[in-house]
Amino acid sequence: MKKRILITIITFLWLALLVGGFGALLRYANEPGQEGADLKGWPAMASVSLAFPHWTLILFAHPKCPCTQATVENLNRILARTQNNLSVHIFFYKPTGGSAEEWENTSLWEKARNMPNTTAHVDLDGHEARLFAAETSGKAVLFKPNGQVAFQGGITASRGHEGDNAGMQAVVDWVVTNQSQVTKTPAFGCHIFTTENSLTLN
Amino acid sequence: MNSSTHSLELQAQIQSGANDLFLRQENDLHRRIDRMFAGLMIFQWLAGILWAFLISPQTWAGTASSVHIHVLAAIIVGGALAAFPVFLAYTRPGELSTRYTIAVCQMLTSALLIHLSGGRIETHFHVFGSLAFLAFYRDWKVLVTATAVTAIDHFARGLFYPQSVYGILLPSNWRWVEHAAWVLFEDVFLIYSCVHGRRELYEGCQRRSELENVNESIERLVQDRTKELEESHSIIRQRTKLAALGEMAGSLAHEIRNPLAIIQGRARNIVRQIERDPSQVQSINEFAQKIVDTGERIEKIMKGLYSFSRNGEEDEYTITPVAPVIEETLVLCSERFKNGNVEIIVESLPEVPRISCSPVQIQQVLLNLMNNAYDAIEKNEEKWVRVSAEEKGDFVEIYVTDSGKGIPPEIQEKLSQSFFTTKGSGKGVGLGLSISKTIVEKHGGKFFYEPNCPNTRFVLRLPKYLGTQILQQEAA
Repeated sequence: MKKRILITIITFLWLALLVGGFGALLRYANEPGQEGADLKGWPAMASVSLAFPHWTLILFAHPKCPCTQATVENLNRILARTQNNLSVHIFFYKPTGGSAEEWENTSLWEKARNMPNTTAHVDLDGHEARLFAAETSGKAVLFKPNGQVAFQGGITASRGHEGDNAGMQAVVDWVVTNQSQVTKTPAFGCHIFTTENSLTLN
Repeated sequence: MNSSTHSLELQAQIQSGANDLFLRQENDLHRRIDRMFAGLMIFQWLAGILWAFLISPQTWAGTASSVHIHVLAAIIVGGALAAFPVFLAYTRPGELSTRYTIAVCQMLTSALLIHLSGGRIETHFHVFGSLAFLAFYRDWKVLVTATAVTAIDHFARGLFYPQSVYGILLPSNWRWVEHAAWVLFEDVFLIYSCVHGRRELYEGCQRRSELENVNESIERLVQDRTKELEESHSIIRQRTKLAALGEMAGSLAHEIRNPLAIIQGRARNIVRQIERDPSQVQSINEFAQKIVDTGERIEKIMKGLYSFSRNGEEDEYTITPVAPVIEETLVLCSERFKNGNVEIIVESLPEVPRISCSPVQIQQVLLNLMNNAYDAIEKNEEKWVRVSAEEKGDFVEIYVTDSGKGIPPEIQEKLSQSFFTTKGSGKGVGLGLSISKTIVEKHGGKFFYEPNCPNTRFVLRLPKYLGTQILQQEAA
């Protein structure tokens, strides 16, 4: 009898562990990063220029964030659907004093270098990210040819999950048809900055 | 019992045997697959951890990093999914609940891996692979359980978190049905294979049961026939022994008549002495003593005769020195040899080595050899038979050598064949040596003709009694 009770308790604990484990995974995957302030237009101090007459997409990424792999994959799909009408700049965070070997030799960098119409940049200490109010790796900002912000946010639906989603579809719609109902989505990914260095955005 | 009733009983017996065999084999199969899954679960757990380490080892915030939740999930959730089935596979192998638990956990492992890979379509192959592995159980209910888990998982996650299972945010409400349908598509073949495989297993058991039944019948028949044969051999041995005794009947009668004549003579002497001078007690006493001695001699002959003639087949083995066995045999044949002017030479016989034997049977062998020797040399000029014995390692060898010049090689080859004899018609049936060989071999020894001896020599090599019952048991 005691043995039966013990087995029942262990079974329930085991089930609880499974439910809790899967629950934690789901919660983590659906937890968006910090949103940051809304960007109104092209920052004057930006180190890159608008790609007039084309659309310009600026993506901010932490080079070691595993979740951003899905963002880059989705960006690849966006580029395939927008037919050379989109110019992309990806800014990869790099801390001051960080070695190129450690921060610029990652698989994300490798992918970015091989993508069409894309230029990868080192974002020393996240200077550009601060200018564009990006706090979360995977945040993209889409500019119209005239410099207006069309869309800002994530182009994945959750952390590390590739595939169709509202953000990705919005970018494609804006570039291809110049219209979309979606102008903002949450971004899913690692923090670009350490917590104590979080942005005080302007 | 008529033949149809017997046939029905036989059929029922075969059926029952087939059922038992099937249950046993099916249980063996389930146990084997349980153990296979235990290994697979551990492998998947380790592979999941490795995968998480390679794909998403850490989560970052600027320059700070911590272990990614996927690594923790692979270790803890993956570990929990593996641990329970592994525990059941080793504590309750072959049980229904074990394989159902394994099915559920295997499909949840698929779910975990699909999640860890971000819903990559390639990872869905794990579901199909798992179903194929589960089909090894040949239990379609296991496949149904696994399919239900997959369908519920896809339905629930499709409802609350589609990205994790379909890789896209807004799948159709019926997307889970599409996924489940592909699983069902595979299930159709796997379930067919399970049912068919199970039926084949049963048919195999039925055939084996039939075969075992036939084997049992044959074995019983062989046992019966062997027993009959053994009984026939026993009768033949006894008859051959009595035939050997018959050869000596005349001389034995003479052996008894002589002492009887002595007794009669001495008795008359006593009567006469009493009539003449009853005071001569010493003389009367000498006659009486002679009568007693002669009576003892007759008793000895009769005892040997009785002992020899009785059937010793069922005798338990006794531990005895070889000397008295030989001496008692020689008593029986000494008169015949004396009458035929054949000298019996007995060399000193060892007292110490003892053998575990049936003395009557060994005497039968020796008497047979003595009679053969007599028959072979009775017409020769030089007539003697030498009996000796000596220790050789763990054996005692008894030699019966006669003055003949050996046996030609072509006859040597046939010596132990039944019904082979060189004696004239009516003198022998040709079973003596073959029976002797059987008796000695039953005693764990060897009976053979010694070709290197200048005379004709047969050897009985018997194992010495070494103080344990091992030899006796071997002989039995």
